[in-house]
Amino acid sequence: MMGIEQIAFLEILTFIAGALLLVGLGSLTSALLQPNLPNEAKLCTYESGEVPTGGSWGKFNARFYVIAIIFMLFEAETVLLFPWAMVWANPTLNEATEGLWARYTAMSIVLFIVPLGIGLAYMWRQGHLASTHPCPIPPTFASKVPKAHYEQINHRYASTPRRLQHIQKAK
Amino acid sequence: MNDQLVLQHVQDNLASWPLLLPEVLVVIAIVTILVWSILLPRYQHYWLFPVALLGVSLAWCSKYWLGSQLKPHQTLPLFHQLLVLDPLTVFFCLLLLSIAPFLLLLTRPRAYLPSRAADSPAYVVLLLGSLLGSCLLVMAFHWLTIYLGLTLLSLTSALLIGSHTTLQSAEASLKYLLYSMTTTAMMLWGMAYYYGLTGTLALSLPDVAPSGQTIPEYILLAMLLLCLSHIFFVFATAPYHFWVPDVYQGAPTVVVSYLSTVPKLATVAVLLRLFHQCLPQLGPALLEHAQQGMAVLSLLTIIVGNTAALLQNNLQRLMAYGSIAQGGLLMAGIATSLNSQVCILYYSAIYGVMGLATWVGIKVLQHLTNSVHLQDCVGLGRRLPVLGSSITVVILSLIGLPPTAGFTGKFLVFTALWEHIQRTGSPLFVSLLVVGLLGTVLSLYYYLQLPYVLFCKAARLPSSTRNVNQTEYAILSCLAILLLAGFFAADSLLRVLGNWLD
Amino acid sequence: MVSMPPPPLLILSALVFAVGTVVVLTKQNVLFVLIGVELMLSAACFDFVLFSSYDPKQEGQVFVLFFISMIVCETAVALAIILKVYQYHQSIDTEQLQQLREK
Repeated sequence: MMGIEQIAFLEILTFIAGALLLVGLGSLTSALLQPNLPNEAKLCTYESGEVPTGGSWGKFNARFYVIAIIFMLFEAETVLLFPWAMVWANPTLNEATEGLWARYTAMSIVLFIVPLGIGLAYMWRQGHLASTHPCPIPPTFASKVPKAHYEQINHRYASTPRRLQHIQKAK
Repeated sequence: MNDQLVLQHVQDNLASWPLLLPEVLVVIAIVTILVWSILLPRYQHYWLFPVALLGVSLAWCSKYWLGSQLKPHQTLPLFHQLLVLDPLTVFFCLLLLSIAPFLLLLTRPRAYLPSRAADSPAYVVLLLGSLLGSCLLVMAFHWLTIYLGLTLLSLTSALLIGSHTTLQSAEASLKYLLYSMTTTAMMLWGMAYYYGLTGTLALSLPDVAPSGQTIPEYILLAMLLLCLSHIFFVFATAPYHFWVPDVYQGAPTVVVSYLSTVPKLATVAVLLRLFHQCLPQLGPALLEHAQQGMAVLSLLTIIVGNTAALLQNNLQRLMAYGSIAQGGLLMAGIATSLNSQVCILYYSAIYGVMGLATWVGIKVLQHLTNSVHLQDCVGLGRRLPVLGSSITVVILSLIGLPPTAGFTGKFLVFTALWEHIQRTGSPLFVSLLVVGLLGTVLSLYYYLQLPYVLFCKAARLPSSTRNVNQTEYAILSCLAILLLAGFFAADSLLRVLGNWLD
Repeated sequence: MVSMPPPPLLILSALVFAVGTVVVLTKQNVLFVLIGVELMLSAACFDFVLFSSYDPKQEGQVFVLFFISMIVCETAVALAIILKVYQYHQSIDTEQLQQLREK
C-alpha cells in the first residue's frame, strides 16, 4: 500500500527515468553514427590548448585542505541548526510555556554556536586559515655552457612557434 | 504535544544544569584557554597549565560536593534520563578527574617534548575534551549519550596520539582512528537493531516486558555484542585489541598513560551500568548469557594478552600486552560483580594507578636511556635505587604480589569469581579462574624481566649523563607509595567504598 | 515491537553494510578504507531511519541528526591525519605503513 508520500516520490522517479532515457538514447545514437578513427593527437589529454605534460591522474596540490575541512564541518553543523530553526519560534510551544521555550532553545543554540565560533577564531589566530604560499627554491646549479649559446639557440628557433616545435620533434 | 508536558520537560532540563556543574566547569576551562590564546597568545606556558589544573580541580571539588549531597542509593536523572547522577558515576568521575592533574603535570616540562605541538593550547584543549567525553560517558544513561561520549573520547584520543611530529605518531593515530571508526559503525548498526527490537534507545526500558518474550534472545544478544563493540575497542578486549601494541608504541608516552587509564575506566563504568541497570530488565536468562559472553571474552583477552607479552622485547609493547591481560581480569570482575560492586571499584581504581605508574616509569626509563628496549636498561636500578625500587613496586603490583595494592585487587576479583562459581557451578567460570591464575604465573616471567635487568646485571655502558626529570620522578614515587598504601590500608579503603555505595 | 519495516529495505541496508565491510577489509588505499567505513555508517543511519518510522517518539531520527554531524567530524579528522601521514611517508598504502610492528 502506498501512502501520499510514496506517490510524491513517483514524480521524482519519473524524472530520473526520463533523464537516464534521454541521455542513454543520445549517447547511443551518437555511438552508432560517429566515425571511429582515433589518433595520437585526438587521444591526448585536453589541457585547454596547452601541450599536455603527462596524464590527468596527477596529484593535486592539497594546499586548501584545511579550509575544505572547516567548510565541511560548518556545513554539517546546519544539520543540527535546521531542526532548531523549525521549532524555536513555534507559537503554540511558546504560549504553553509562557516564552520559556524560546529562551531555553535560544540559550542552547548559543551554547552550541559560540564554542564553534571560538574554535574558528582560534584557527584564524593560529594562522591555519591563511593559504600557504608556495616558496620556490631557486636552482643553485651552475652550468658549464655559457649563456650566449642558449640565446643563440633561442634566436634560431624564434621564427617557429612553440606548438609547431613540439610537433616537429614528434616527427 | 501536551502543553503541560512541554513546560515540565523544559523545567526539568533547566533544573538539570546545576547538577552538571563539574562538566560545565571543564567546558569553561576549555573555552577560557581558547579565548585567552586568541587574545594573548604570548607567554602561553605561564598560564596554560595553571588554568587547566584549576578547571580540573574545581570540577573535582564540585563533583565531590554533588556526591556528598546525594542520599544513599539515590539516582538523579538529568536531562530527561539522558544522563544520570548516582554514587557510581560520582566515584568514577572523581577517579578520572584525579588522574587528569597527573597527565597535565607530565606534559608540563616542555624541554622533553620534541615537537612544539605537545604544549600548545590545542593539546591541552584536546586532553580536557577527552576527559569531558569520559565523564559524560560515565554518566550516560541513553545510547545517544553513550555514543556521543565515546565519539568525543576516541576522536580527541586520535588527535592526541598524533600530536608528535613523527611518522610513528601519525601512523598510530591513523590506525587508532580507522579501527575506532569501523567499530563505531558496528556499534551503530547494533544500536539500530537494538532500537528496532526494543522500541527505545534509553537504557531504562519502560514497556519492553510484554514484547521482551517475543524477541528471539540470540538476536538481542548478537545486537548487544555489536552495540558493545566500540566500548570493547576502547577497553582493548580480545577481538578488538589489535590497535593496542601499535598505538602504545607509536604514541607519545604521556598520551599512552592517558589512553591506558581514563578511557578504559570510563568504559568500565558503562559496562557496570549495563550489567546492573539495563540487562536485568531484559530477563534473567539473557543476563546470564550476557555474563557468560563476557566471561568468554575475558578468557580470550587474558590468554591473548599474556601469551603475546611473553614474546616481546620492546618495553612499550610488553606493557601494552600486559595491560590487555589486566583488562581481561577487570572484565571477569565485571561479569561477576552483580552481587558486590565494591571489589570491582577497588580494582579499577588500582588499575588506574598502576596504568599511570607503568607509563610514567617507562617515560623516565626512556628519557634516561633514550631507548625502549629491555637490554638498554641494564643496571639502572643500581645507579638510581629510588627509581629502581619504585618501578619494582609497580611491577609487583602489576603481577599481583604482596605487599602491593595489585595483590588486594586481584585477590578480590578471584574471590568474587570463586563465589560466583560456588553459586552457579558454571564450568566456564571455573576455566576463567584457572586461566586467570595461570596468566598470573606467566606474568611473573615477563614482568620480572624488568626488575631483573634493572638490579641483577651490572651496567655495561658507561653511565649516561642525562639527569632524571624531577617531576616525573616525584610522580612515580608518589604512585608507588600509593600502591603500597593501597595494600596496607585496603580494609579501611574498602569500608569507605562500601559506605559510599550502600 | 508492533510492526516491522519492509524486509527488502532491511536487506538493502544489510547489503550496504556488508559491501562497506568488504571494502574496509580488502582495500589497501587508506582513502578507500575510509569510504568503506562511510558505507557501513550510512547503512546504520538508514536502519535508524527505517526503525524510527515505527516509533511515535522518533528517537531514531533525532539520533541520526547527531550521528551525521559526528560522522562529518570523524571524517574531517581522518582526512587531516591521512594528509599528515602522506606528508611524512609519501604514501597512504596500508601495506607500506608498517613502521609500528613486531620486530
